[in-house]
Parts: sequence; C-alpha cells; structure tokens
Amino acid sequence: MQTSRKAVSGTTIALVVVIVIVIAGFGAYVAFYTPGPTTVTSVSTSVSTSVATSVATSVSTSVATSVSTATSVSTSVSTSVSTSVTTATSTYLAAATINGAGGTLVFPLMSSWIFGFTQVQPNIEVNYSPVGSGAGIAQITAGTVNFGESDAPLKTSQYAALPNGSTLLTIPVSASGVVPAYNIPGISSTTHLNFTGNVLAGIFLGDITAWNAPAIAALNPGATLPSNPIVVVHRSDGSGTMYAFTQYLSDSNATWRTKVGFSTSVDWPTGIGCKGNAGVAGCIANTQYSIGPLEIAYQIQNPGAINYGAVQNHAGHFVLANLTNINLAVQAGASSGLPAGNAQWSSFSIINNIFNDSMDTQVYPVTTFTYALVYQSLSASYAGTSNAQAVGLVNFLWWVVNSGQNAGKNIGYPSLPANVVTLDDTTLNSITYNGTPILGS
Amino acid sequence: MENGDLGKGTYRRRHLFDRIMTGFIFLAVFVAVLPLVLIVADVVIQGGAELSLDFFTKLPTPVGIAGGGIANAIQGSAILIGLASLIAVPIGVGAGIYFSEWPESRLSAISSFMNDVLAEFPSITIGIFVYIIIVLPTRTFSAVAGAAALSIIMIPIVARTTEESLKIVPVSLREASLALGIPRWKTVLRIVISTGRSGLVTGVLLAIARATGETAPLLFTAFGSGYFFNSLWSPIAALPLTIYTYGTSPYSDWIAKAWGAALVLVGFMLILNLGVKLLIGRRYAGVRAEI
Amino acid sequence: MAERFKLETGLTTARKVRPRRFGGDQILKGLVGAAAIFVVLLLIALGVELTEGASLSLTTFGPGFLIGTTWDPVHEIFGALPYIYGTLLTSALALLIGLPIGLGVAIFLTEKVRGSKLFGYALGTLVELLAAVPSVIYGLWGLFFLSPVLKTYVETPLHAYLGFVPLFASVPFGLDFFTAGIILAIMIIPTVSAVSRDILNAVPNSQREAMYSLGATHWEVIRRSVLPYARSGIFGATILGLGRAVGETMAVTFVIGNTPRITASLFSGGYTLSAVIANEFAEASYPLYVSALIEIGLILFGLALIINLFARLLIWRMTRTTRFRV
Repeated sequence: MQTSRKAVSGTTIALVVVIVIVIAGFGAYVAFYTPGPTTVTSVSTSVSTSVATSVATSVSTSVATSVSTATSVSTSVSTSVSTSVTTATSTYLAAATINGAGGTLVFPLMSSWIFGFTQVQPNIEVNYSPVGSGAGIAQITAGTVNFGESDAPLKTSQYAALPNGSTLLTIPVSASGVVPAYNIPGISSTTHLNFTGNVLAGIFLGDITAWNAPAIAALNPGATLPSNPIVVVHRSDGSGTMYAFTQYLSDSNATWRTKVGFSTSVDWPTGIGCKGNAGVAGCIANTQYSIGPLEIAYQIQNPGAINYGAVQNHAGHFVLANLTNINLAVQAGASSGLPAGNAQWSSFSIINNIFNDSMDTQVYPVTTFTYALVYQSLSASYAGTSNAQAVGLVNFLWWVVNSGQNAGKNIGYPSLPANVVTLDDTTLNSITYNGTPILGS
Repeated sequence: MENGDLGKGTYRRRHLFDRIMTGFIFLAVFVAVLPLVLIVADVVIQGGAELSLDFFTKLPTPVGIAGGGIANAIQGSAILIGLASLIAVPIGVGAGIYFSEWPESRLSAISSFMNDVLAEFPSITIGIFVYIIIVLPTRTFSAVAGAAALSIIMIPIVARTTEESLKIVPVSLREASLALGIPRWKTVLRIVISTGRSGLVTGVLLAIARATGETAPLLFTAFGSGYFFNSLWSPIAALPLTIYTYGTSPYSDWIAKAWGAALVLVGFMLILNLGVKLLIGRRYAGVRAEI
Repeated sequence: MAERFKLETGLTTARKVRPRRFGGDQILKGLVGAAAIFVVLLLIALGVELTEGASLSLTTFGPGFLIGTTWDPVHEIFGALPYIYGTLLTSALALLIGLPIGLGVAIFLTEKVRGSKLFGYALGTLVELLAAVPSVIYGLWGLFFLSPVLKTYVETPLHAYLGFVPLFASVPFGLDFFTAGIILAIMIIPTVSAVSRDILNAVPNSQREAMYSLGATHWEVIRRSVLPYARSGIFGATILGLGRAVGETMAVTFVIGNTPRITASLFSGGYTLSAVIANEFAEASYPLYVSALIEIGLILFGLALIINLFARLLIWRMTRTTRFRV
C-alpha cells in the first residue's frame, strides 16, 4: 500500500513550510530593497507636485507660492516660523524614526500633519498609533514611545507614576467639539432642536424618557415633538469625546456630577453603547428616536446624514456647533488659567473655563483640547532617545503647533488660538537633549 | 448498534425521516452560505472600487489627499504571518503529533488540555501578555512582538487539528508499517502524517486565516506604521490595523480604503488556499480512507 | 543480534532489526515532546503574568469581583458578573446555532456532493474563506446590515407576538445578545465545518458499507456510524469553535449594545468579558482600572479551564476504550 503511493508526507510538510518561508522571504526581499528614508523621500517628492496643484491647505509651508492662496492668518504664521525653521529646511535633519501613541480623536489630523511635515523634512519618519488616550499616557510613562497624545490631561496619580525626577510636558495641539446627534422621524434636518446641559443630563441619566417631555418642549416651542421614548446611545469605548461630554454634563447637573462623574469611560446609567464614533453614528442612524454624543469632525464629514442639535452656553444662547464657534470657545477657554507646559495640568479644564465664561455669546460649550505629551529632558539613558530622534521630535511638534494648524480645517478640526501657540512655543523651547536645548532660540 | 433497532417502524417512516434530515442539511448549508455570500459580496462591492495599481504599491496618504495605498500594510501582514507561521506551525504540528502518538502519557493529557484552554483565550489578552513580556523589556514595539502574539493564537488551532487528523488514521496502518520493520519515527512522519495530511493542511490554513484577520493582538505589539518594513525590532504596518483605524473613521475615502484592504486580505487568503491545495493535490469530495 | 530475517513469504525485513537506545524514535519523541512542553510552559507563563497584573484588583475586591454587578471606573467600583453572564450566554447561543450548521455543511460536503467534485471544492473553499474575513469587517457588517435586518424581521415580530415569554421580553433595538450570538455563530461556522469535514472524510468507507449492507438509510448511516466514529474529532471542532466564540473581541462589541446587564431577555443589550477588555483597556487611566481589566482576562482563563475540564470528563466517559480506531 505504501509503495503504490507516490506522494511522501515529509515532502508535503516541507512544501507547506517552504511556501510559508517564501511568503516571509518575499516580504523581507521587498523590505531590504526598499530602505526606509530614501523611499519616503521618493514618495514625498512624487506626491508633493500633485499636492501643490490640488486644493491643499498651507501644509507645505516651505513652498512660498502656496501662501498666495492662504488667508492672512497663515501668512503671519509662516513668516514667524521661517526665521527659526529656515535653518532646518535649508539643511535636512538627520534621519530618525519617531513613534507616538494616543487618542483616536486626533488620528486623522495627525496623519495630515505627518504627511505635511514629511514634505519639509523627508528624512524624519513619524509613526502614530491611535490606541487610545489612556494607552498613550501608559506608553509615554513606560518609555516605549517618543511622544504620547491624550484628550485628557494627566491626573495627579498619573503624574505620580512617571519615572522619578522626570518632567512630562503637556502641549495642547488641537481641539474638538461634541454635538448631540439624534434621529427623530418627523423632525427635518433643517430644524435643530435646542438642548441645555441640564436637559441633556436628564436624558442621559434616564430621568427624561420621552421626546415630548415638558423640559424638552419648553426649549423647542416651534417643533412638534413625538411622544416616543428616547433611546440613549453612548460610546462603549473610552474616548476623549466622552471625557469632554461627561465633563460638560457634570458641570451642568449636580446629580450627574455625583452619580456618574466624568472620565473617558463612565458607568452610563442608561442606553446602549456603540463602538467608536462610527458605531455611535451607525447606531443613531439605525435606531429611531435615539440621541447620542458625536464628535464634530464626524458631523462635518457627513453633513445631512446626521441631525444634531444646538447646545446652550453660559450666556444663554443656543449654539449650533461649527468650526467658528468652536474656535471661539477654544480661545475663550484658553484665555486664562493655562498652566505652564511643565506644570501639572490635572486641574485644568477648558470646559470648566468655557462654562464659567458668561461674556461670549457665540462660544460652543462642549469643546476640549487634545494634548501632546513629551518629556522635558530627553537623553539616551532615559526613554532611549537618540539625538536625531530628539531633534526630529521637537521640530515635528514645532511644525504642528505653528505651521500645521490649518491642516485641520478641511477635515473638521479647529486651530489653536495665538496665546496657546505662544505657550506651546515656550514649552517646546525648553526641551533639552543631554542638557542642551534643542531649538536654538 | 442495538440489534433490531433499524427494523423499528415501517421503512416508509425511516425513509421520510431520512428525507427530513437531508432537508435540514440543505437548510443548514443555505443558512451558512447566505451570510457568507452577503459578507463577501459586501467586501467585493465596497472594496472593489479601491483596487488600483496605486493601492498596491503606494504608502497611505492622509485624509483628503487622493491616491495613496496600503502597500506597507500588505508587506507588513505578509511578514507577520510568515514569521508567525514559522514559529507556530512546527510547534503546533509537533505538539499535535505528540498528542496523537503518545496519548497515554501524562504530559500529553496535560498539554492537550492546556492547548484547548489556550484556544479560548481572547486575542486582546494575548496581545497584552506579549506586550508585557516582549515590548516592555525591549522598550519598543516590533514585528517580532506582533509575530509572537499571532503565533500564540495559531498554535492551538494547528495542534488541535493535527491531533485530530492523526488520531483518526487507523491503527491498522501503523501496525502494518511497524510489522514491516519500519521504525516508529518513520511510520509517524511518512505514513501517518501522509494519510492525515489534508487535515493538517486545513488546520494550518485555518490558523493563518484566523491570524491574518486579528486586530486586537497587534494593537499593543506590532503597533502599526505609515512606512515600509524597516527592521524586525521596529513597528510594522498590518492590514487588520489599517482596516480598523480607517473603517471606524468618519471619512468616506478612508472607509473605502478599509473595505479595499479587507478585499485584499480575503483575496490573499483565497489565493493561499487555492495555491496550497493545488500543490498538495488534495481533492475534496471523494477522498476516503479505504480500509 | 542484528540480522535480516527472512520471512516465510519470501520477503525480507526492510532493515536490520536492532533495539536502539538513541535513534530516530527517541529524537522524534524528544522533539514533539518539547513542543508539547512548550505549550504547557506558555500557558503557565500566561497564567503567571495575568495573576501578577491582576493582583492589585484581586487584593482590592477579592471574590466580590466575581459577583459584583457594578462597573464604575469613575468611582473605582468593579464587578464582573454581567460580563460573565454575557460571555456564557453568547457563546452558548453561538454554539447552539453554529455547531449544527457547521456540521451540516461538513456532512453535506462529504456525504451529499460525491458526484460533483468541483462544486464541493468550490463550496468548501468558500466556507473556509469566511474564516479569513477580519473581525472588524464582521463587526461593521453586523452593525450596518445584520442588526437592522434582524431587528425588523425577527426581533420585532417575536417581541410583538411572544413578548410575554421572558426570552423576548425587551424592546428590541437590534444590538443585543441575540445579534451577537448570531454573528458569533457565523464566525465559528467555517472552523467547525472545515475541521469536521476532514474528520468525516477520514472515516473509513468500511463503516458506511457495513451500515448500508444492513439496509440503513443515508441519514441513519451518518448518524449511527459516521458521526460516532468521528466523535472525538467533532469534539475538537467544537472546542475550536468555542474558542473563537469566547475569545472574539472586535466583532461582538459592535453589535451587543455594550451595556452590563443580566437579564433573561435575548433582545436586551449586554456585554461580554472580551468586549469590555477591548473597549476599555486602551483608555484605562489608573492602575486599579488596568488591574481590574486584567483580572477579567484571568476570569476568562478560569472559565476556559472549567469548561474544558467538564468537556474532557464528558468525552472521557464517552470514549473509555482505546483512542485509536480500527
């Protein structure tokens, strides 16, 4: 029986193993013949020409011609940057790979930033992994990444967990807003329902259960609200969006503050949890009479598909979120009380600042910063950073804060106000490698 | 079989029952195939529009900028799977052989039990485990860590299927071989494995399919990257990570890329499946152990 | 002692027969034994690391963690009972639906498509391809397609007409135990069917022929001789399917509603152990939180141990005699 068989099992096994090795080998072959930095250079040069012709934001600041299409804000930004960066752009920085990890909220913007920065500095590779704000803080604490990114500043206990003697800098790099999105058959997309923080808290606590409840009807005299029960939708995964939203609810409603509190993940009293902004949007779209908190970028990208309401700010105005009033909110919230970059930011809350601001009528109250986290004293003995990595990292962050802020306009992110840019510049200037400051000025 | 059991009832009743069960089996196949067709159709329809030469050869671009592709994710996945298979297949097949050939030993009982427990581990916990034992000490995310996590997921599948396919090889084959004086190791390697090879191959392919589609274990190990493969000890891109980050974003061009990447993944598995089976020369219907 | 034996039939033994102290046999046993030991070591390492990571939570909550029903990261209260319930319920549902269907497909492929090899080949490959679909895609497909379909055509009518039955008592939103169970069932079908198919193919024809010769119908042949012969292999397929169902993180969290709840109703939102780790681990911002999530991983470890222990005892009782088949 065995002699009649031609196929031998040992060969069979060897064949399977060989196929597998070939796959790995092919991948390795491609890898070893496409070395890192030069590939990036070739890719970026071939794409940069198409970028200049497309309707790009002022991402490629080194190209002077792009300024002509930009607004006056960017001209002032680019001139102030050129003095400190020209030295860098005229000679490329040494090759380095920088790794960062943090929240998902800023990931699309981060990829725009990385892309734009690579035009300026083709030898610097930046990897960003959107694993979540908490993971970002954990990674920078453990020293497995060069920078962290978080939608919430570190808590006191997290500062205490940092390596002894180290200072972690907190650098606001962008901002975002949260809108109450809903799906109510019968309410058209042009009608925007009004909400107050108190009413939203009541809905999410489960106290207000029907759409035509007196509390909601009082805010919307012109709309015919159905009597159907409200289906609450919230995020199931932790996120900066929920941090901002729950903080706003805590400020608006004492019951929410004591019963639930605010954090990236909370114990929601009612409702169903959906994963990610995409999940929340999908759940709302699929469930009639539902309401849920959604990041503004999501709404801007899908106009018309998602109805959302206006939120009352401290001045009493009902504000329908857009980039302009979020920008105003960021300016108002950051106008005072900003800690220094190397201080602890645990008690800073932009939402609280905006909440207590009764002057500005047009600010959108549910707005939050997102922060980059870097150690102040970089060195090889600690977090394993090389000189090239440190220089590349600081230049990248400098570029992000000063030149990259317009990159977010088309994809739904506001830009930092001038005073925050100044604060961040000061912070970045304080970063040293082996004792010597990295940026000249 | 109890004596006289088959004679119970009229022939018509048994025949009817047979027809009903056949109907159930057809129904089962229909129910199984329906979501399959829907999902694959969804992937093909939504992802098909994305396929282009650029998609396969370019690096990813940010939102709003056209072009760009997932070349690094394809390369990264291939490297990760290749590495993971190099680790998992020998260990899994080896363990499976041990479970089936020396079942009476205590090590076999304990290890095969542990293997089953390992099969039920959530992939994210395995990712966290590899993070603790590889990423933290080496202070970097790496392809090695990603491959390690994937191989831990693959080993129980390969081991279990190997064990089962070898166990079902009739003892008479083994005895005949030994009676001819063929040493035990040759019997196992050449005869038993050869007879059970189709099950073995299925197990390996299933394990590879599972590992290729896993996202959670790669989040804290391989980390993801926007660039081509650099070194085994630095972060590496992978298709499931791309699908996860792009697919759950609000940008329609990114979501389209996620479906395109999913199509590439499924397509790759299809090619692998077909290729291996063609090479091994196995046929599906009609192969029976003739004893 | 070493000599070639000339047998009565005229054949000569293939090689010199000599007892060896260190030869191929020992090498093979050593190598594969090492692989088996590696599996044990791997699991011990997993257990140790999990226990270490969960130690803070273990000491803080003790056994109360297992029966606690509150999970409040803000007030630092953690309890895992709703998640345990959700995992058990969805896995049971997944096995209940996926196992028969997977087996049915395997039986179909091995018994019913003898004639057309290409069709069987195509169908088999197609089903195996389901295993390659990434779990995120399952999740997205489940959220945007399956959940609304199930809600409209299955859950709402069932709730309307049979709402008095506790199983269907909640108002259905499509994101619940039921949808999660169905998605998991779909995900384990390729594993169960692929493994079962190889096992069923390997059942010798003599078994079938013997039954046919006694006048059995096709189904009786399957049920009474093929399936029992393949019992161990099918059990192996079950274990692998169960493994996928219990350990699945991504797809479940898209469709289960992610609310920690213990209720008899299938149409209520729920939560599983794997889903809560997947959702919250990345954002866990303080050590007790991280430790609690790792303890959930430890609970899964324990669950897997218990389930497998019971299953092994069951199988051991059923297949008391030799493991090898004639």
